[in-house]
This record gives sequence, structure tokens and C-alpha cells, in this order.
Amino acid sequence: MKKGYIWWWVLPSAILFLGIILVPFITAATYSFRALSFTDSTAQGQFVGLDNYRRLVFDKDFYNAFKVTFLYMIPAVAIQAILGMILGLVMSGAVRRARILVPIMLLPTLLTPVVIGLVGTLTLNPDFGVLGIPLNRSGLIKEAVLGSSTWALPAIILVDTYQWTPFVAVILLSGLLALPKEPYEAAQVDGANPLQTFFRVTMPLLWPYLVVAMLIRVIDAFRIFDIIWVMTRGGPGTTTEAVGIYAYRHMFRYWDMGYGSAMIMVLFLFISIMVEYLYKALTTWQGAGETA
Amino acid sequence: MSNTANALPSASGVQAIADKRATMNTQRLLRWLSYLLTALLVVIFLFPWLWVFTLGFKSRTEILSPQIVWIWTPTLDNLKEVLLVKGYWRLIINSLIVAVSAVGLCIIIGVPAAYAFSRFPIPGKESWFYMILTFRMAPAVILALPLYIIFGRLKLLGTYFSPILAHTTFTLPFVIWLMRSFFEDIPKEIDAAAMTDGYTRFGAFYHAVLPLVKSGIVAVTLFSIIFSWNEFLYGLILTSDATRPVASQIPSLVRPHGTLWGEVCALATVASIPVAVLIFALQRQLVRGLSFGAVKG
Amino acid sequence: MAKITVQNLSRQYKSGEIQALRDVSFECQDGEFFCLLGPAGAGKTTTVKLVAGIESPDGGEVLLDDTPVTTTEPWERDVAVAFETYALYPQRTVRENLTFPLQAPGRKDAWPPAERDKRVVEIANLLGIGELLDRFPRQLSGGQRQRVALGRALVRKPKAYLLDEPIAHLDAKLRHRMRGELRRIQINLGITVLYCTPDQLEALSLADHLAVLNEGRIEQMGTPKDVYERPANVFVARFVGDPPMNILDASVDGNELVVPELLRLPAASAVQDLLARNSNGKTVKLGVRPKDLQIVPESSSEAQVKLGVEHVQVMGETSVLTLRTDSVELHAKLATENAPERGSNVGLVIDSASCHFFDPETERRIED
Repeated sequence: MKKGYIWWWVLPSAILFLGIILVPFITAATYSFRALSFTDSTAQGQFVGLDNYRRLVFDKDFYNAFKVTFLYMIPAVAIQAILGMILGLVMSGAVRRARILVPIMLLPTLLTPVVIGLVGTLTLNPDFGVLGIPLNRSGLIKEAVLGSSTWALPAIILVDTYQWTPFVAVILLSGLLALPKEPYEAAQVDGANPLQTFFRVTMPLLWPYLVVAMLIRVIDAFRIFDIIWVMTRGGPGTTTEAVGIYAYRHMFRYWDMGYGSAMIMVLFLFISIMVEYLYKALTTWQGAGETA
Repeated sequence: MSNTANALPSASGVQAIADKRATMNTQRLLRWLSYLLTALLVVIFLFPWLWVFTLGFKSRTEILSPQIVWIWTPTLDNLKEVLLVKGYWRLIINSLIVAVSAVGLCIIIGVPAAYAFSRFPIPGKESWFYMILTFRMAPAVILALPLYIIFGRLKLLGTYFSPILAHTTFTLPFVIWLMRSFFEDIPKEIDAAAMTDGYTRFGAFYHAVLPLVKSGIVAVTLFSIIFSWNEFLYGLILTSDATRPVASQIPSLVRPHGTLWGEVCALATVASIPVAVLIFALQRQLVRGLSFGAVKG
Repeated sequence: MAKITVQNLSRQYKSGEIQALRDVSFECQDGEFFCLLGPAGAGKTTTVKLVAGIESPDGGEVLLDDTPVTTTEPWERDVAVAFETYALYPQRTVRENLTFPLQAPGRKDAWPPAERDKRVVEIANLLGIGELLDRFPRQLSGGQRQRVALGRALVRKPKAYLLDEPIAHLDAKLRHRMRGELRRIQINLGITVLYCTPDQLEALSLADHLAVLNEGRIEQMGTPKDVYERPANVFVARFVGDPPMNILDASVDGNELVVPELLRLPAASAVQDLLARNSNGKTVKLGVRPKDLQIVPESSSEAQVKLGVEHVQVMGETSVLTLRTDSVELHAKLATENAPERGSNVGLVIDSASCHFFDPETERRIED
């Protein structure tokens, strides 16, 4: 194999990748140490060292953004895992029907998120929404859901769950279908009841799939933007301002490039730590799906 | 998991018959339950879309009425208004241009790269993959600002180039990651056989291996088109009104007050049809595409 | 046709964990049928890959017609390979699989389309797969697939053919027939064939020359006769020949060979001289082929030892006896009509002239 031959295959991708990802990244890195803002005339791009980061550390809204993200992520991922598991189990028992169900169920996952947000907004509308009307009339929720500081975030969680539970279910379903039959036969011979079978046989075997699905969902939780943007724009106030929306506010409303860049760096660090785990999970268990 | 009610062997024949009948009843019950559940799931997952779909064909008063009306005379006014009068059909074209260009570019350069990752010893392979994965999972916001600055300097803002290139930030990693897993499925001996038969490495790739991953390429392409079509942030920031994709425009139509729901729903419906079609075309490959190839469907 | 020369080839995998080939050298002459014989994992397939250019050696050279090709790409080497794992193109019909090698773009020996079809049909009929030409590999049985793989190698007219266990998965009768066919074609056309097999019978019957490979090393090279009659070490002695040669630990005691707790046999003077000249200690490993063990009645005066017949395996006209004592198990081969009953006792006579002797430590053949 002649040396250097490999590059012909990889070079165009490498160039695009470096150009479109690494260059912006480095740009952000350099800007994070400068003060540059279109709305602040004193910030003309001068070098300010760690000022932006220092400001970030003391920014209450920054912590709020993380808080909101976690407040949304934890219940969302938990519910999606449980519901996804139930759905997956149900479908694994009716494989033929599952084949028709899967594309239908994945509509929320694959259709445009802004449209899902639109569906959410309309459904929860207190005046004519399918869910909004009963919620409003029954007196459970006295105000417009999306305008309520208590109920806006749960609404987001609801829509997100609607969007992503099928994803979890489908991953678990394919895992379930790939499981070997022998442990189940052994359990049957041993006289295990369905509950025992589930916890002692299914769960350990399904664990890798569950971990991959949940890791993806956790990291995805930090990417959430479109749904929140359509439904609440981050409001009311900052009650649904997740990390992405918060960053957007400073970057594209206040046009604070320096500060926004510092945010980018911090977020990136955060994400790469989490991806470390996802990467390990994906590559260790790349063989997990290959028993079928 | 599916055989929850198996007939257990029993001593006497009579007992066996009774058991069998009980089993059949339980089985029938379970079957009806699962039919019910299936129907329920279909309703839950289809109903919201259908409802929104119908809103696109209702008049303003019909939409705002607190009664949910099931039978009405559909009107094409919303559709006409939003697509033709306001000219938003252009948005759909924009989405198409951006998606097809970005995906086309990434397929052309990404598939050979994926092959190389599968067949050749590439220095720092692990690091590349790690980077690919990291940027795939990073929030779009992270790159949005720098890309805005850079494209601004290059005077590319408002052209198609900006969103197309921006979309490659998540399309290229996806293509490479997924195609590599498809290539790994093809035994390396096929390459060896073709090469000893007189094909060069590229010839072996093109004539022997590529035909075997055809369905994989189709799946990756369709998935990537879906993701690109659905993308919101880059499409919003890097484009002008003339080049904006439809997904990026829809939220702007939703205002705190006075939103023209009928038109928005009509537009959203039209924007969703291509994706829905693609989803059904991708039935078999859905799981693999969604889970980064970690799980085979 | 070309001569294949392999010099000091070495190859390791997994950063040294697996040493597939160690310093392997041999030469396959132009127009020769050369067998690489060895058990699974011996390094046969690795050698084929290195000669074909699919992989590069860590050390050593490969030459075709005395021209070094070690750094030449496989598509420039002009050899044809039949893979042990078939490596058929699954999305192509059998016909297309067989035509594929003839269509390689830019080949120096290009085949015009009309010629191609003729050649494909010719080879297909030769291998008995003529009716399967329009089927796909997934529709074929293992044996049929293997023949397609062999056919794909044979359609071309390259400098040499590298066949890696090409008929291993065919049924016995078919294998027998194919062996004959291959050898016949090879002789008629004067083609150079490098043939890998774990089957010693196959190697002995087909090869002009052969090399016995074990754990990446060549144990012995030579004609089938050389290897059978004068095995270079215990491994070759036991690997070539079926049932395997019996190996016993013996010591020299005057003019006798003593196998402890078993027997004494008189050592012919030639044997005594041989051992005196070439072996150091008093112990040797003594090898005697099953066919050289003479079975006599229990009561015979000639019997050097009496043994119980544990098992008699009838294989047509010959039978194999498993003879047992507490310490030792021996196999003997004789005509079925002379075979004793199971459970009976027989006498054993070993003639030292028919024995092979090996150094007890190095296990190498003791010879002048």
C-alpha cells in the first residue's frame, strides 16, 4: 500500500470538516477573550483576557439556563426511558403489527421539530386546543399553559416526550428482537414468572441498548431549541430558557459576540465530557446490535 | 416475551383440555388487548398531525371555535394565501435546494472517506471519530455565532452557500459515521478478490463494494435530507428572506397575538409531506440511522 | 506462467501477539503444482495473501519470475486467487461473478466480450456448475459456491494460480473428482499452481513439491516421496500419513532398542551405526508407521510383545487396529482379511530397519 494514497480518500472530507467546524471553533475561541458587541459601543474587539468567563461565572441567568435544562432533562429522560421500555416490550410481542407501527410512531421524532412545536402550541391552546380546552375548562390550569410560569416547562417536557419516546422505544425494540432465546427458555424451565423474567433476564441483556438510548437523550437535551423557540421563546421570563435559548439571546439579540463565544467554549467543554461516555458506550456496544 | 401463556404439560387428559381452553381464552384476551393498544397508539401518534392538518383547511372562525368540528367543508383559501399570495412556495424550494446540495456534497466526499476509515489504517482514527461524534451532538448554537461571523466576512450571508455549508456540519459526520458501519458489514475479502482480479483499490471500491452498500447509501441520503429539511437555526440566521428554508420561517409566523393559524397550519402541512413520505420509504433502516448505527434494525 | 519465489517471509498480527509466518522461504517452479500443507492456523492463508499482494509482509521478499513484487499492488501482479471463504460477489449472478475478473478495466490482457462468454461457459461446465450460471450465490449450496470461487480464479489466464483450500467443502466423491480434474488441467496447460490444504492425502497425491507448514514455520520441503519416506521431524512424521506414525520413547542398550515397559527389539547393524554416529545420548524417539507394525498371533515366538486389541476400524480393504497397553497406544494397519477380533490379544513385531529415529529433544530426524 503506497504511503500517502490514503489521503485521496479522506482529504476532501478532512478539508470540509476542518474548514466548517474547526475554523469556526477556533474563531469562537479567539473571540471569547475579546470584548465585541454590536450593542455595546465600548466593546470594539479589544482583548480582555478572562473577563467574559468571569462574567459568565457570575451570570445568574447562565445558571438558570442550566437549571432549566436539567429540570427539563431529568423528568423527560426518565419518563421517556420508562414509557419507551413499556412501548418496546409491547411491540416486541406483536412484531408484525410493530412493523406498521414503527414508521407511524417515529413521525414525531423525524418530522420537523418546529412543526412539532406548532402542534404542541395548538394542542395546548386554551381556546381551541384539543388538550387546552379540557385543561382550561376543568379548572386544573387556569391560565394559558404556555404563558404560565408553572406549567410552561412541563408542557415542554410533554412535547419533548411525545417527540422522543418513540425513538427510545424503537431502539429498545430492536434490541429486544435481537435478544437470544436461550435465557428465556431457561427461565421458563426454571418456572420464572413474567416479572422475574423481566428483571432478571430482559433487563441485564437490554441494558446496553438502554444506556445508549439514554445517553443520546441526555446529550440531546442540551441541544433542545426549536420546540422551545416555537412554543414559548424561552418565556415566560426565563422559566423555559434552556441553555441553547439563553445563548441565542446573547448572541443574536444582544449581539454580544465576545460573551457568546465564551459561552460556546464552556458549553463545548461540557458536551465533550458527556460525549466521552457516549463514545465509549457506542464503540463498546457496537457489537450489541449485531447478534441478529 | 411473547409467549406469556403457554400450555404447561399436565397429568390427565381432561386437565389438558381444560388448560387448553383457559390458555386459548387468555390468548384471545391478550390479543384483543394488544389490538386495542395498537389502535390507541395509532390514534395518539396520528391524531395531532391530522388535527393540525385539518386546521389548514378550515376558515378562521372554524378554527377559533371552542367546539371541535369534525365535519366541515374544507377550504383551500389558507393554502392559496400562504403559498401563492405570500409566495411562500419559495420557501419549500429553498429547503429543497439547501437539503439536496448539502447532502449531495456530503455523500460524494463522505462515502469514500467512510470506506477509507473502514479499510485503511488511518492515524488517529479514534480521535477523528471522537471529534465527529462531539460535533454531531453539540448544540447548533455553538457553531451558529462563529459561522455567522465568518460568513459575514466572506459576504456569503443571505446566499445559499451559507446554509448549505452550515448543514454539512452535521451531515458530513453523520454520513461518515453511518456509512462506515455499513462498510464494516462487507467482508474485506470482497475487496481482496476484486483486487487480485485486476481492479485497483478504487476499482474494487466502486465496482465490487459500493453496489453492496447501495441500500445503505440510499438510507443515509434520505435521513440526511430529513435532518437538513428539519433544520431551523442555521436556516434562520444565515439566510435572507429570499433564501430561507421553510422550517426556519414557520416560527416567525407564530406570534403571541394575531397568528394566522390556518395559514401556518397549511404551510406546516405542506412542509411536512415530503418528510412523511421519506419516513415511510425508510422503514427498514430507521433504527440504524437513528442510533448512529450502534443498533441494527 | 511464472515461478513463485518466497524469501524469508514473516508476518505478524495484533502488534506481535500473533506470529503468522516466521522466516518462510520456498520456491514454486514454473508450471509446477506446489502444495502448502499444514493444519489450521499454520500460515497457509497468510502466505497466499502475501504472494497475491493483499497484505504486505513485515519482512522478506516475494518474487514472480525472479522479479521482486513485494511492493507491487495486487492488481498489478497478475495472479488469480481462489479464496477459502469464497468471497463471491453476492449481488451478481454466477455468470457475472465469473465474468467480473475478465472485465477489469485497463487490464493488459483484455478479453473481448465474445471470448469472455465462451470462457465463462467453458469453465463453468468444467466445474459442473454450467446450469447455475444465472443463479445468485445466496441460492447455491456451499459446495456450489466453492466451485464458483474456484471458477472465478480459473477463468483468467494469469501468471500463477493461488488456490486456498479450494475444494475443502465439497463432498468426498466430488473432491476426489475435482482433484483429478485440477491436476489434469494443470499438467496439460503447464500452469503454475500454489495450492493450500490441510489434507495430507490431497497434498501427497497432487503435488510435484510440497512444503509442510506449522505455526508459521516450514517444517520440511520436498517431493511427496521425500516427505513421506523421510520426515524431517516428529511433527511431519505424524502429520503426513494416515493413521499417524506411532512415536515411542526408546533407549539404546547394546544391540537392542528398548521401549520401557513395552518391548525390546534387535537393532540392525545399520541402525546401530546410524545411532552411534549421529545421536548423542542413549535415548531416541522411535517412529514406526502403522503399516510397518507386523501383527502376529499371540502365541508366536517372534512376538516382541503382546498387546490387547482395543478397537478395529474397518476401512474397506484395510483396517486400522488400536492396540493398547497400560502405558502406550499404538495403531497398526493391515489387510482387513487378516485383522484380529476386538478384545483379542496379538503379538507385535517391529523391524528396526523400517523405523524412523528422532532426537528426543529437538525432535529432528536422526540421519547421516
